[in-house]
Amino acid sequence: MSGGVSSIARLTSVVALSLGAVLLACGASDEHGHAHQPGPVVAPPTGAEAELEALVPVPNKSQTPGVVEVDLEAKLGRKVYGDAPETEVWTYNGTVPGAFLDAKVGDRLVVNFKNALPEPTTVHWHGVRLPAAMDGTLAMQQPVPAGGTFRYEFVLKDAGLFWFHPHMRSDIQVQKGLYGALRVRAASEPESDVERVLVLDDIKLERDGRVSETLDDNSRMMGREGNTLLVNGTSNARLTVPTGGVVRLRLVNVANGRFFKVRVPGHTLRVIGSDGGFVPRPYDTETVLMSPGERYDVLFVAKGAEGSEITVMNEPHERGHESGMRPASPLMKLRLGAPRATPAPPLPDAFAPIERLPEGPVAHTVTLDEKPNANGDYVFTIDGKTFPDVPPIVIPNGQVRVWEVKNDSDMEHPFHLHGFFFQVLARSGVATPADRLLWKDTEIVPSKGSIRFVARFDEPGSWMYHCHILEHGELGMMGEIKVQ
Amino acid sequence: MRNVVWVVMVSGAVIVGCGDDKGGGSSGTSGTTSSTSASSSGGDPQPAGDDAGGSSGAPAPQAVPAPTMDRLVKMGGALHVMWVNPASAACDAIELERKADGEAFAVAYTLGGSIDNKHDGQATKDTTYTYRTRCKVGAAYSPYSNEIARNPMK
Repeated sequence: MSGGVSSIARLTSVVALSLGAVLLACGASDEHGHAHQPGPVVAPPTGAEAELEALVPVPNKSQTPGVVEVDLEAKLGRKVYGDAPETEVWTYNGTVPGAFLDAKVGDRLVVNFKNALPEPTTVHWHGVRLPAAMDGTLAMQQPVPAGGTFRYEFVLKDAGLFWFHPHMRSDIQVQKGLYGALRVRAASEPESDVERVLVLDDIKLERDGRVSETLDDNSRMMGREGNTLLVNGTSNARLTVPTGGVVRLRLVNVANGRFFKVRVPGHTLRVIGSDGGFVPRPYDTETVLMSPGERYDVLFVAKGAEGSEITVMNEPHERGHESGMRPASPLMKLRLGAPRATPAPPLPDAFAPIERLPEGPVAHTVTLDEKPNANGDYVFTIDGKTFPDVPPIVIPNGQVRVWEVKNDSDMEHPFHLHGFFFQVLARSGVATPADRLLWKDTEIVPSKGSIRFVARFDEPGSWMYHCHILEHGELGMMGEIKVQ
Repeated sequence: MRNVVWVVMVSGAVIVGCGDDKGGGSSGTSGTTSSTSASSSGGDPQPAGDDAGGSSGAPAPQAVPAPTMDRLVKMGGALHVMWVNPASAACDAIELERKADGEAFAVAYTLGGSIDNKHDGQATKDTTYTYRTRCKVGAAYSPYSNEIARNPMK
């Protein structure tokens, strides 16, 4: 046994470190059940910063004007997240996020899909108006078996940012990395110096680097939330933008359960688009709140000193069950690069108006709720039932219908409608201002509140509607619409 | 109840822990004092070596760090407990202990080592429930976490 000063010094250090750790661990809670010294909830980004390059579109195999034909393969891959051990991921074309598809409005998109995963899957084209047989749901398509193929083909009717992901065992398959963005460009796009599609996600890794598939009580209730925030699959992304330049960020939230509330400190964001393309009257906001599945298109002029950095933050949001108590988390960095040569042009303040669908009496009311079952596990219901026991809603083809979606639960649910855009007429009884009418396919339904929307159901087939917290959808908060 | 932080030395190893001064020992602990109830080994003193790794020559065992309680949320008339597991240790299991007002801590749930939350559907009375956790690695236990308390009705 050695002794002397070094041992004493080390002993003192050990005591001090241990004491400090225990003092932290021994902190009491307040009357609201909040620990005084909570540990880190979201692991800070780790690893080296990575410059956020623009997503590279999959090459178009077609020589025919107006046709975009791509190969899309779902397959296993490997990826390193920050300092974590290497992770086996599920990918489209080998990357997370998966293949980036780029087209123009009016193009015919042909996707030669191959499933090289060890289990069946489908591809759902989130937000795209298409024939029901192409929608990738089990209501209209047999699963593509392991080793199988499927040809998706449809015309892109709308400009905007869309995304694609599996629609079976989606909570697991998306969590493992199966998602990709589809950008459909309009005939005319707003001017910007930098444009990036930002695919927002999070991931929860086990110690050995595996993607966690554990459905613990929190994941069941709130949807799986990871311990690392990702922008385009990177936990520590940095985007260099010209000082004084116009930056366009096209955001899509592909997380299972996490809501993102994006803030660029010191900057007001001009929202120019959402799920269904440009908004008629752009508006300014300090934060953009996005539930899973939603998209937003924002512009801002990068302000600050050349060479400085801005940390883009994910702000807390109370979506139920005291989830808003979480601290803000860094999402990515903006680095102000060489200045723009000339002053930035004014940001757009108007786009083409959208057709206002006729209002009418509420034709369909559905109620979302959560309740414990006999085992004490929470289930998520529509009108008290879980899918597939939720009775389908039948709508004659071509009808315009007003829906009311009520939410009796203690948390917000993102309501997603397949195949059709809708216009939100009111939120919890408060009418939407005429100049804020947007085309949406995913909308947050407030806790103990409601949304009232109108949609034109003009494509026959079976279509799904569900909560886009993927665990909730998989656990039964899903229904079917038969347009016939 | 006051939180008490304690330090002991066993065969040259430093063990630091915490507990309440009522000494509400967990099930399976043999002592009634704060230090025993919050022992890093759950009442079974851990072997400890000297600088050379003890008489067997094996490395001295690492103390298992404690989880940290995060939040206690009212949910559906019951309570939902969340904690943060130690970053520096892979727990084999997590023991979540609960006590109601005037009662002693008892293990309410034994969970997988990576679990960091539990909905306690049994915490439904108009009383204050207090929780703590500890991490088990092999036969060793961490000290208890801090405690967190709430009444599901208030």
